[in-house]
This record gives sequence, C-alpha cells and structure tokens, in this order.
Amino acid sequence: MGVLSALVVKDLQEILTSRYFLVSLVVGFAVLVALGAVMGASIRETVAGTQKFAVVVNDTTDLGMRFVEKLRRHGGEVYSSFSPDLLTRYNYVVVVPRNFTFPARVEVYARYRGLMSVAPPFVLDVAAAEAAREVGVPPQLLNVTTLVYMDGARLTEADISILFSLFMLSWVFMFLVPLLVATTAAIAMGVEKEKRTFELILSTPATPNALIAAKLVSSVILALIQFAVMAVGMFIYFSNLVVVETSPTAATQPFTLSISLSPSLLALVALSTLALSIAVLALSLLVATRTEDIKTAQSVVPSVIFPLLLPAFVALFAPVDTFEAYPFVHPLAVATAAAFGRWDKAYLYLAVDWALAAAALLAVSRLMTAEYLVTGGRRRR
Amino acid sequence: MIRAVQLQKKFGKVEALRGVSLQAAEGEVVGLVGPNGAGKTTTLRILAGLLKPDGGYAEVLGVRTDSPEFRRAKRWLAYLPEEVMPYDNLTGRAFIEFVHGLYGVVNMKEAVELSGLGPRVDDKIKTYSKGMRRRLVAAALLTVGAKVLLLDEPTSGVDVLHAVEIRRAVKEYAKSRGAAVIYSSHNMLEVQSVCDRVYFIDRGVVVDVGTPGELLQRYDATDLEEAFVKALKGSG
Repeated sequence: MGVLSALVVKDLQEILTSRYFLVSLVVGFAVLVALGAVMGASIRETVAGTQKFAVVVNDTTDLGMRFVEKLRRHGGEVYSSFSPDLLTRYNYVVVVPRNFTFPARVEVYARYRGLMSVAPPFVLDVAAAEAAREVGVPPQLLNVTTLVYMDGARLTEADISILFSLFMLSWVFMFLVPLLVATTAAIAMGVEKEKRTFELILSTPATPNALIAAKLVSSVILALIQFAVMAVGMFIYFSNLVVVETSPTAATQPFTLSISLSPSLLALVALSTLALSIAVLALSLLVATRTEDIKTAQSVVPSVIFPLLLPAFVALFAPVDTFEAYPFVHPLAVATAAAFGRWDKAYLYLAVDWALAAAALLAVSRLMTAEYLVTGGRRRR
Repeated sequence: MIRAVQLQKKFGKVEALRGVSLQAAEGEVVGLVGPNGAGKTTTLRILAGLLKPDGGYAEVLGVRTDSPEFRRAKRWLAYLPEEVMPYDNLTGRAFIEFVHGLYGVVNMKEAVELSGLGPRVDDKIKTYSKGMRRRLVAAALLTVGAKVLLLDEPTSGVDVLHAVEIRRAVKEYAKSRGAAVIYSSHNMLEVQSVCDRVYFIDRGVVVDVGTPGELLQRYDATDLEEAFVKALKGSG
C-alpha cells in the first residue's frame, strides 16, 4: 500500500467512524429535509393564497372587462361590490376602477398574512399583460395600491413600516441571539473538555450546579457582548437603508390601527428572547459535554440548535399565527400580540417561554452530575 | 484520613475496580502503582467524590465520598488529575488566583515560589512548556491548605530538576501539615523515594501492599520496579 492510499484509508477509517461526523451527517440531512418541508409548506400556502382572490367590478371599460376576464381565468371570483367580509374569505380583493385603461390604477385590499402580503400580487401583471396583448397595445405594468387589513382593521403605511421593523427585529431575536448563545456555550464548555479541567474544578468545593450556573452567566454575558457589537453594526446598516414614510391622511381613516414600537413591547420581546436563550443555552451545554474539544463543540452544538430555529425563517414568508404556539417564534408572536393589544396572549407566551427555560435548567442540573461531566455518561444503578 | 473499602466500579461491561481497599493516615504518603488500566485513576476519582462506586465505599476525613456532606469536606481536599491542562489565555498568576478562588484562599507568594516560574508567572500559559504547565497546576493545588492530596502522575512531563522539587514539596507538605497523600505514578524511582507505603494494583484489585523496604524484601528485588514486575507475574 502506497503512502497516499495508507493516509487516505486512515482518514476514512478515522472520520467515517467518528460519531461527530455521523451526527453532522444525520443532522445536515435532517435540516435539509426539514427546511424543504417548511419552505414547501410556505410556498404551497403562498400559491394557495394567490389562487384564492376576489375581483370587484361594477361597470368598467371594455379593457377593464378583458382584464377582469383574465383575472377570473387565473382563479379570481368576481363580485359587484366590495365588503370587508370578502377579506375573511379571500387573501386579497382586487378592485377594478370604472375608468380602467392603461396605465391603470388598481386598488388591492389584502388580508395581512406576513410581509409578503404587502407586495402586489404577481397575477395582476400577468392578467394586464394578457389583456394588453389581446387589444394590441404594449404590455404595461399596473400602478397598484395595496391596502392591508388585519383583523378587520386597516394598516397604514406607518403601521406596515413598523411591522417590517418588528419582523426584522424579532427575526434577529428569534434566530441570531439564540445561535450566538449556542456558539458561545459551545466554546465555554468545549474549553473545559479540551483542557480536561472538569475533574480539577469538580474536586474542589465547586459543585456541578455552580459550574452550570457560571457557564450560563458567562455565556449570556459573552453573547450579549457579541450581540451589542452586532446590534451597533446592524443599526448603522439599517439607518442607511430604511426610510419610514408615514401617511397622515390614512391614519385618520376609520378602522385604522396605530402600532408603535413602545418600550413595553420591546421589553416583552427581550424577555421572551432571554427565556428562549436560557433554554437554548441549557441544551447547548448538554450537547457540548458530549464533545471532546472546542472545535467539535462549535460545529456540533449549532447544528443541533439550528433546526430548532428553522421556523424563524418561515416567519419572514408566512404569517406566524399558524405555528405561533411553537416557542422559538414567540419573540415575534409576543410582539405582534402586544402590538395589537392582545396582552393576554402576549403574557401567556411569555409564561410558556419562562416555563421552558426553567424546565431546561432543571433537566440540565439533574443530568449534569460530576460523573456525567467527567466520564460523559450517566451512572447506571 | 483516607479509607477505601472494597471499591467496585463498572463502565459498561468493563470492570474498572473489583474490590480495591486502601488507606492513608495523617502525614503519610501512599503510592498507587499499576499498569495502564489497572484502576488507579478510577480509585482517585472515587476518593475525590467525582465518581460514585457501584460497590464498597470510600471515606475522606471521616466523610463518605458519595454523601452530600462530602461537599463541605472537599474544602480540605486537592486532586491533581493526570491530564489536566491550565487555560491557554490566562497568565500563570491568573490561573493560581482561579484555583485559590475555588477554595477561598489567597496564597499567591507560596504558589509562585513552588511553581518555580519566576517572572514567567505573568506570561500567558500558552507560552509555557508542558512541564511548566504541570508545575503551575501542582503549585496552585499544593498551596490551598488541603489536608488530603490526591496526586495522579504529578511530575508527568516535568524535567528532572523540577520533578525533584515537586517530590520534595509533597513529602515536606505531608510531614509538616499532617496531610494524607495518595501518589499515583508510573515512575518507580519516584514512588520509592517519596512514598511511605506502596499499593500494587492490577486489573482492579490490590495485588500487594507494604513499605518500599518490605516490598523489596518480599520479592527479593533490588528496586521497586523489579518487585512490581514479580508481584504482577505472581498475581497473574
């Protein structure tokens, strides 16, 4: 056997039998499958949403009627007058004006179902292009005004801007902070494993619970430092990007909401995130104790935590109300509930988050005995 | 001060200890000698309260090591594990402060002196040699005022001159403070020179015990190494 083949065979034998390699393989596979399922569900939901819409038309031009006909062929159901009730049955309602001509101004009343509902439906441009082709004029895009409704109340442009900020903020809290915490915990625990210092520490008056508490505190502090640096960077980034435009006339209309990012709302988001971070931290510490060094801990721990945070991705594309019971989307669910004055729901989710954190801490304190930390296994009685 | 009675410990199907009994009195340095996998480290871990025995029991300072009360007794126990390495990004002084902080003592001067690191004590540990790291951990633990020392290969990786210094310090510590010391080592010369009594241990059982002189006489050996080999052959 040549030197090269000997080295390759050794590497394959070493790595293919490594449980960390196998774990990363299985977890990677599971993440891909889960991501596919979640994104697929989201896409199906979006497609279903675009297929279910109403068209309101009452006496319009020939071109307008052609446009309505195209919309009908694309799944639109035609009504002669608008009523808020339509928004409970359809995701959006297209109102075709009496003087429809190109370039056309069309109003779309959309039911709020995540950030994507703010964008004009793609089907409108398709139908407009088809109608234009029939009458032999060049296809022209429509000028669409989207009026978003949520629970029967109209969202102003300012509300939508704030909701957008809320989503971005919550996504950071739902995804980035727990991942930072997990990585920090992996380093904190991995260094003890690598240096074999558990034996030294636990043979002193320090107890396993004191060690876990210290790791929790130090990991949170380190994660906060990381987050603070990132937050400053993000603030600078967003301050160059986001321009919030308010519409004073819209705010005076009936049924409008006035959402604001109040300190109490932000406090609830922070409390929810803190509780979930503690739960993530406890799980991360537990996983990290199964590894042998910092590098392994750093690769294994986030790969275990990442699938838990996957729904945070979906929150950007779909409404959270379908899976808001899932704890790791609670920062957004709590924020949305508080923004719409549903305090009972906000406090309920907060209570669930802290119960989860307490349960995770209790489980870890029971599992992580000195023997577990030193030998990596539970004592069999 | 240290007493182990019929200690048994299994890891899965492996029987690490099959009834180890030993004791160490006040001011006594007791050697624990055996081949790899004999059960030395497992015995020390049980004595340090890190593992719970599956059978038998151990007492340190009159307290059972598997009882909740042992937590308080650990203030007077110092265990130097074989493979422990101090943290790279701390300085030697910060590491001593950390260990002393766990015991609630401040004894920097003596620890620095014993470590032999001199001004290097303020350098980061990642710049230390293996021997310097071992000396640092040993010095930190030997200066916490423990009444019981459990030392697993304390001079592993340490050069001859500093190994002599550590041995002298351990012996002096036991006599001057009346501490009981369990000293595990592969180095027979070291064990012969430091220990008052020696336990030969193999495959989880004690094969023989005695003072170095008694063991040499019993096996008609010129040194402890020869006695150890004969003892193991006799037991196998």
